[in-house]
Amino acid sequence: MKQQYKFWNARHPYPIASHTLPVHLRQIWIERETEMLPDYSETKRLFGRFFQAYARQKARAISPFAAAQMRYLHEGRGMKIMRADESESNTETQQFSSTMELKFDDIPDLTFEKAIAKYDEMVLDMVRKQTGFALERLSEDIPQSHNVDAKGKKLDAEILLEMFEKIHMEFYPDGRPHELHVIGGLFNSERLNAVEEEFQNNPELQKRRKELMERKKEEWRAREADRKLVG
Amino acid sequence: MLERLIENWLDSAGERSYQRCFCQMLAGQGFRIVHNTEHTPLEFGKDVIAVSPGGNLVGYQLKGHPGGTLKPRDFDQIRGQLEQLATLALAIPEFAGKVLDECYLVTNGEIDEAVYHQIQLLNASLVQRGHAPEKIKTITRGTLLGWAQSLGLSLWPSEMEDFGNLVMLLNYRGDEMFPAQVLDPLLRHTLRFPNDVKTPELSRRVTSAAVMTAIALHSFSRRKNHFAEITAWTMFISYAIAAYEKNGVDYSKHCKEAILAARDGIYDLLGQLCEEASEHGTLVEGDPFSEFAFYRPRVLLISALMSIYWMWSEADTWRRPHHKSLVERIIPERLPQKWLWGEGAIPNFLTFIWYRKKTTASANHNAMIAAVLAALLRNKTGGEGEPLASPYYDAEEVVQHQYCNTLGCPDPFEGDGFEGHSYFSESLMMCLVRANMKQACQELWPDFTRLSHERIVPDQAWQFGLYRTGDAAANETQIYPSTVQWEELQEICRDHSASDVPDALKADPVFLLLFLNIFPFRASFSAMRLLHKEFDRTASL
Repeated sequence: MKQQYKFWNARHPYPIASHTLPVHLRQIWIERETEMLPDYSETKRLFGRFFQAYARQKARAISPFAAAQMRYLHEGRGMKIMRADESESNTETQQFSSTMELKFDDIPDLTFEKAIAKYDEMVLDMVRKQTGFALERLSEDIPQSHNVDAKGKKLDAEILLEMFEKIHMEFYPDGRPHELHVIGGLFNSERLNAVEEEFQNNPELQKRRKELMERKKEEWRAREADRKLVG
Repeated sequence: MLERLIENWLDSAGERSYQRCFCQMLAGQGFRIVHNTEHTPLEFGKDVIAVSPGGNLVGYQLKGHPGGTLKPRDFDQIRGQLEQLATLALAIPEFAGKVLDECYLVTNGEIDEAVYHQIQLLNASLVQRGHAPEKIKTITRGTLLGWAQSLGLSLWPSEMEDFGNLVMLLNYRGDEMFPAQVLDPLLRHTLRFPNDVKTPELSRRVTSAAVMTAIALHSFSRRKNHFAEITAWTMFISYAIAAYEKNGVDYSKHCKEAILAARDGIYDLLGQLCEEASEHGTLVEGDPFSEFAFYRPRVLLISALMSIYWMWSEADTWRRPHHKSLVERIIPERLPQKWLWGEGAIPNFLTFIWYRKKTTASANHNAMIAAVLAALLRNKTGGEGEPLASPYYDAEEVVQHQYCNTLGCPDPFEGDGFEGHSYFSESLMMCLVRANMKQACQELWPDFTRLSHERIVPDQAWQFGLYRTGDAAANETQIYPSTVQWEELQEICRDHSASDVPDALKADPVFLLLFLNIFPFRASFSAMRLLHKEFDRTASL
């Protein structure tokens, strides 16, 4: 059974969505008491709206958590998750900021493309900060029993099997596993291809993976069958 | 600048729109309003009757002469009403058979000298008939402006931002949804939520907030946008209660009159909505070609509002008895197809169902709840259509999202997602559990456990009444165990303590129901358990 790798499992019971807050931009305007020349403010407002939307969409597109469902918190300082096993976790919201600098000297040569490039720099910085924070919170929230220590090694079939062993896997009703979402340097596409090759060249590893996935599917079936209101 | 703003408001306000403000100003001066009617056939010239702080029974006949003068020809038309006001005994139970001690002709304009002379003559004839001298007095524009400034404006926030918000409210066309997010900071600042406020000052501030609400509603009152007016007065009440609860003061001892006057105003607005909906015979508004997007949400909304009006009147009394049959005709037996535009529609739906349960016994009501929960669970677990929006979005925003490309507008849902979690599945499940529909609950249970159940819990109960709590709340997510005993679920559903709801709101379930219909994001599982207990008497738990 071939596994498709993307990013983190978005349906994981340890949601990270609340950390990946939308990007809000606050711009500093050049204020004057009087208008020496027209500001073309109506059209600038339209550009402003475009840049805001662009930055949000770009942030979403390049975020390693793009596949995770995003939630907007309309109020409240954070999230409290109360799980079925009666464990709880609290997450406070965190504000990130990034500075975008545009020098007066740059303006005569400024083009639309260059303005976009400035936004790209800022968005990249914001996404980097958000990702770091989200990973930190995930590490704190995920129980030790769900962790696998690669011990400085590169990703290989054994690490992957150990990982599969520990994670909670979900399946579609037709038996296909949900896509797994992976993130971090361990999971670059080169290593993932190499691991797949390792499986293909080793029937024993293939057999172990197949058996493990069958077991995971059985566990999932048992969990699903367990969704009962009894008595 | 603010003085000028009040003058502009008074000089363009009709009699109906300044009456509510007038009552609030009386309440702010220590009067107890015992009768406040907006043009019922039985008023006999008495728009407002109040008991003064000195114990006198005072009647007011309100007339609207915005920017004008009451001329002798106008006076000829109201002389009879004034005479009735001064001489007829009251039919109000508490004061039955009593005659008013003082009477006032109130106008937001000026009064012509010749009219003053005629009032003197009328007073003289009343003296001859045994009434006190100077029985009919007048209140004109100058007095009203003075009251508005001393009771209202003097305590308004003076920040430029607040002034801008007030001007913004006055610049609305008046046919929109009421912008609660604009009134919110004005009320917060007037009631000084960040500070501790002593009781006498708080009472003055509540009057000031009421005057501000009346003025902020000017554009909406002019367009007779009853729902907008109901929304704003509902906010005023919930914020006033919040301010009292926050400062540890029992509102019923200190600002009961202001809240009751606003509550009466809301009741009257529901009555006016009832009359207009009956007269029009259709719920279509404005451009009919765009109604494909709004008609169904409007039918649901009016059904919920009329259900509240019906339950309110049944619990108190029908002040206009003929409205009962009108309301029963307006509320449909069945809701239109595809009424479920978002989770924000569910309080409307449950209100409608609770009304139906009170008027018609049928097993179909619970079956409808089960069908709605099944549809919601299918939708939220990825089975059917785009996931329904959270209750933070209203019907208009949902339509803007659906047609944002066509309309060329920003997508209100950008940055938000709704799959896999629900704000109302728990409340709907609770209705079924309390109705002892065990089999339906068992069928729905697997999908129910696949969802995260959301609610916002304010740190302190008084914050419940605010449009937004800011940081002072937690977004709680409940994930249920896969297997639960029926008795255990019954136990969860049995609780109706609603610890996140202020006591003053718990004591007024009809108002709480209205509040949650207007602000569905406050309809927490806890609040809905309380309301269900109150309004669905067919439940077994």
